[in-house]
Amino acid sequence: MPDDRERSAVSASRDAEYTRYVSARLPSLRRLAVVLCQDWQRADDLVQATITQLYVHWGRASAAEHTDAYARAILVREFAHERRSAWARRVRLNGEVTDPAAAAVDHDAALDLRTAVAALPPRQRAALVLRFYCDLNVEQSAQLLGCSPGTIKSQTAKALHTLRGALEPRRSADITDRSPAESGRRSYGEVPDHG
Amino acid sequence: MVEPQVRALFAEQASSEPPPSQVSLELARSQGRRRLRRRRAGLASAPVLAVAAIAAVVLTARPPAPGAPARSGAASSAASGAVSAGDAPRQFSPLIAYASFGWLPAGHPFVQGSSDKTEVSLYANKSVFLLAYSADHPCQLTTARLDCRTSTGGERESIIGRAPAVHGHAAFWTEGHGFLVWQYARGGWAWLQLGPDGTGGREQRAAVRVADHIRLGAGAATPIAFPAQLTRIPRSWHIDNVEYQPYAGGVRASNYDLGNGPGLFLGITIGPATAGSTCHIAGALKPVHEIINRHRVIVGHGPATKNELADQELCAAHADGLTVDISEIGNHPAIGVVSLFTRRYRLLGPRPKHWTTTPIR
Repeated sequence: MPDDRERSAVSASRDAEYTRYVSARLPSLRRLAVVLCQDWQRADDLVQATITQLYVHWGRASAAEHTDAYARAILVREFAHERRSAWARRVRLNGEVTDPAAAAVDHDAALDLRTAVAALPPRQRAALVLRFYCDLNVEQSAQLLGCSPGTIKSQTAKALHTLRGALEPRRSADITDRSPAESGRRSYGEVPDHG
Repeated sequence: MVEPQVRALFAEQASSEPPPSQVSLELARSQGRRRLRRRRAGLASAPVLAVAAIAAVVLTARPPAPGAPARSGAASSAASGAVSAGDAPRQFSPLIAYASFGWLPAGHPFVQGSSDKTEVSLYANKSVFLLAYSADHPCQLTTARLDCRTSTGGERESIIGRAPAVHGHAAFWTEGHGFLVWQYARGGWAWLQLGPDGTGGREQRAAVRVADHIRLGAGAATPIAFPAQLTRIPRSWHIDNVEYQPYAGGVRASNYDLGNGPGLFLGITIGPATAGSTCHIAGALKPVHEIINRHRVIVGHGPATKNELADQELCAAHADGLTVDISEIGNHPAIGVVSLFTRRYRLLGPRPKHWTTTPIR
C-alpha cells in the first residue's frame, strides 16, 4: 500500500498534469461553450463547472484515448442536462445572468437567427452544435451526448424546423418590402403559384 | 436551407474576440478536491468497496484536535482551536470566514469564499484567488520550493524570487501559476493569484497591494450567516464545509455540506429567491413535482447500483423567499431529503436580520 509520501507525489503529479492540460485547452473549451451558451458569462460558468468535473474524473479522463473528446463530452452533457454546479447555481440565483432568449429584439436576420438559436431547448442546441460546429456525424454526436443516434436526428430536425419557422416571417416580410417586380409579384400571405 | 446559416453563425461566434476569461483553475481544483473527499467518504460505506477507498477515508478522517470544535454547527464552534497570538489556527471552523479582501482592483468584486477545516479560499471576479491553509496542513519551505502537499491534496510551487514582505512576513513569487505566497502566521501559509497568468509586473504590483490589505486568520474571523436552520438531526451530523457570498454587511452561506463520517453526504444550496429563480433536478433522478408545506418542490430519487450509492434531491425555487436545493447520498440515510425539508429545516426567509450563525440547533 502506498505511504503518505507516495500518495502526495501522485497527487502533485496528477495536479500538474491536469493544470497543464486545462491551461492549454481553455481557449477551445471557452469557444465551444460560447457557441452552446450564446453568452460569454454563461460560457465561463459552464467551463468552470466542466473543469471542476474534469478534475474529479481526471484519472479516467487522462487515461482515455482522446482526452479532448472526454472533456468535450463533459462540457456538452453538463450543458444539455442543465446539471448546474454550485458555481453556476450561485450566478443564476443572483439573477446576474442575462437571459439570451429575452435579449433585445433586433430585426436584422442574423440577429433573428441568433435569438432563435439561443431560445432552443438545451439538447436541441447541443445537437446542432455537435453536428454543425464540431462537425461530428450522427453516431459520434450520439456517443458524446450519451443518447441514441435516433435522438440526435430528431433533436436536430426539430431544431432546424424551429429555426426555419422563426426566420420565415422575416423572409416573408422582406418580400413585402420589395416592389412587386422584385418580389416576383408575390406579397405576404400569398401562396406562390408553382403551376 | 438554414444549415449553412447556422454553421456560419457558430463559426462567427467561435471566432469572435473573447472577453478576459473569468474561469479559475484554482477554484476548479479546490472544489474538485472537495468533491473527491466527499466521494471517498460516501463510498466508504458501500459494501462493494475496495480496501483502497477505505484507506483513503482513514487518511482523511483525522480525530479532532484538542480545542477544535466537537460539532461544526453550533454557535460555540466559532473557536478555531487553542492558539497563541501570531499562530495560525490549527483548524478552521467551517462556520467562520477567516479571510477578507481589504482592497481589490476596480472591476474585481469579491464573489465567493469557502471554509473547511484545513483551508479557506476567497475568489474575486476575473481570477483573483486566495487560498490559505491552517496549521494542520503543513508546508515546507526550501530555497527552491514551497511544498504544501498532503495525501488529500495541496500545492507545490517552485520559488522564483523574493517578493515584498506582506504584513512584515517574508513573501515569494512562484513560477507556473504565478502565485504570491507568504506565511500569514506561524504555521499557516497563504497563496494569492491575480489573473490567469499573474506574472507580469503590473499584476505583481497589484498582487502585493491586494495581499497587503488581506485580513487573515483568527483575528479576521467573521461568522457566516445561514438563511435556514437544521433542527432535531442526529448529533453525529456536522457541517464539513461552507461556501459563502457577500451580502450587505457580512457573508452568507450559499452552499454547505454535512457529513457524519463515512456513509452520509448531504449538500445544501440556498439563497434568496428572485423572480427568475428556477430549480432543476437531473433527469436520471426521475423528478416528481410535489407540494410540501405549501411550497412547490421537485423531488428526485436515484437507486443504488453496484458501484454507486443511492441519491436523492429536493429543490424549491421559491420557499419563504428562498431558493433551496438539498441533495443526499447514502443507501440508508437516517433522514431523507423530504423528511428533512418538511420537519427539520427551518427556513428563515430572505431578510438577513432573521438569519442565524447557528445553522444546527
